[in-house]
Amino acid sequence: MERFKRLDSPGVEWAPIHTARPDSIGEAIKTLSQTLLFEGLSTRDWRHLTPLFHHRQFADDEIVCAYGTPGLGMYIIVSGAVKVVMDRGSETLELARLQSGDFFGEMSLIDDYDRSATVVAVGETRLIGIFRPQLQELIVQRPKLGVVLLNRLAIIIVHRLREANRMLVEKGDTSRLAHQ
Amino acid sequence: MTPQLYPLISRRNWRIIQLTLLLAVVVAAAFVIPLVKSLVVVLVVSLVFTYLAKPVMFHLERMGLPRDAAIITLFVVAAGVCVGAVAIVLPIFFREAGALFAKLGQIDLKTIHSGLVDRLERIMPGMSGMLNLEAGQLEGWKEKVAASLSSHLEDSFALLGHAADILVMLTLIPFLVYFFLRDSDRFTRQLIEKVPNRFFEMTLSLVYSIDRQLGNYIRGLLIESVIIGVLTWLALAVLGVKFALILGIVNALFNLIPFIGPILAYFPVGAVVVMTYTPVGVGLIWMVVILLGVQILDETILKPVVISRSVQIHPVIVLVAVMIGGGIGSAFGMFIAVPVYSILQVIVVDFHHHLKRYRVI
Repeated sequence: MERFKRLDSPGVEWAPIHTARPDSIGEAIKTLSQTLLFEGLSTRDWRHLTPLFHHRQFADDEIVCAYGTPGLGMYIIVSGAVKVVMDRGSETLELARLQSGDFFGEMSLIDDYDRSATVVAVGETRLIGIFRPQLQELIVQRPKLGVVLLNRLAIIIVHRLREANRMLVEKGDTSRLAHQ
Repeated sequence: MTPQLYPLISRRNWRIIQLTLLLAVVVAAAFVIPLVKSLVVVLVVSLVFTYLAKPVMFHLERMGLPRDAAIITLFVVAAGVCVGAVAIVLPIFFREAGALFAKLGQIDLKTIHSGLVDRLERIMPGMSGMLNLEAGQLEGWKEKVAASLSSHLEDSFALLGHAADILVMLTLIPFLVYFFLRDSDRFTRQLIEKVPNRFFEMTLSLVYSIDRQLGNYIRGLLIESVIIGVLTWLALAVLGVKFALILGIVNALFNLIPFIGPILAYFPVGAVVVMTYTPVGVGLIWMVVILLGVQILDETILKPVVISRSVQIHPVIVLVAVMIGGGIGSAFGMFIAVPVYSILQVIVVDFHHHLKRYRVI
């Protein structure tokens, strides 16, 4: 009689306890590497970056981050969608709807200003968060990679600023233009 | 409308939670901590070493060493420093300690008393009657003081006195430090991952904020104490005061207690100067100059530079903390009471600040 069950026999599941699921990391890297912030990074860079990511799952209508609370970092949408909303008196304005591959909250990686709008999950949504305290640690520990990320953040923010200026010009409100 | 969740905890419920937490802390301090004293000491010491080693480990990692190699390098260097300390400092310490205890045993209170009476009689005739003591009273005092001192010393070092405890500590502390250094990031991450979405950002921010502040505080405190100890040691040694190393350590330890500590340090240092230095008056003046000088240097340069954000504690709380620390851990407890209180204060204040900023309360 076989006293011990073979480890690879059917019915016995052996899964690593402390390692994250490879599929989720692979999927996350694939999504992230398509964003402007993380595109073109080397395998070595990803090895230093992946421990910084936080995988979060949100239910439908669950608040991701709320208006007025301190901004801590940015989120990248892996699957699902989010809507950016703001209360105006009794009604709620939907400012934007973001899909898989989009990101938001990147300015919170730079400073700790309060969130300027509320972000709510639309359906089951998976996000990856990267946050300021860990980015600051990365900048100290891996300055080269830190400079690359900060440079790209600056490009993204400048791009947003130009876009906002363009919209103001289109509306004819040139008094509120940010300095070029 | 977006779901409105703020504040999550009402003011009334928050008061109840605060009271419950306070009660839990009091119960833990009174009943639980004395039971697990050894474990608490091992954990605290391991955390202190971890916070000291972390910046060096990060520096080695920046130089390109993998984390394990960085930690092993650190351990090898630390072992070298320990061997160096054992070879150089410990013989001086034990020689001075042995000589100091021998000197304490030789104190002739009767000679000191009669000398004092003679001097007082010369300065203020007739007043020496105040110092007239019955025969045997002095010896009784000496025995009482010696008994009290030895019982306190026994209490203080009881924890360290057992060979088994020392062995467990010496094994556990490096083991824990190794794993704190190697895995604390991952462990913290895994804990944070379990936090519900509602509190996730707050918890992450809180953990990093407390970690940064504690690191700065512990490293600052240790650097400050080492500088004070070394300065006192060198200044006293240059002046030829005996037991300078022990007195440096004593001054550094007393300096851990704000307000009263630096004043209390004058008594042991003064006692040694009176016993060993001639002329006594000059020795006492130099002692005051040195201790005051070190104290001024500490308040004006060390504290603002090394501990950038000093923890504000009311003097009454210092006294209460020192008494509670003394009750739980004798002399060792007295010296670490204020740093432990400061650490708890940093955690509580930061926790409260985060609860408010994230509109939980």
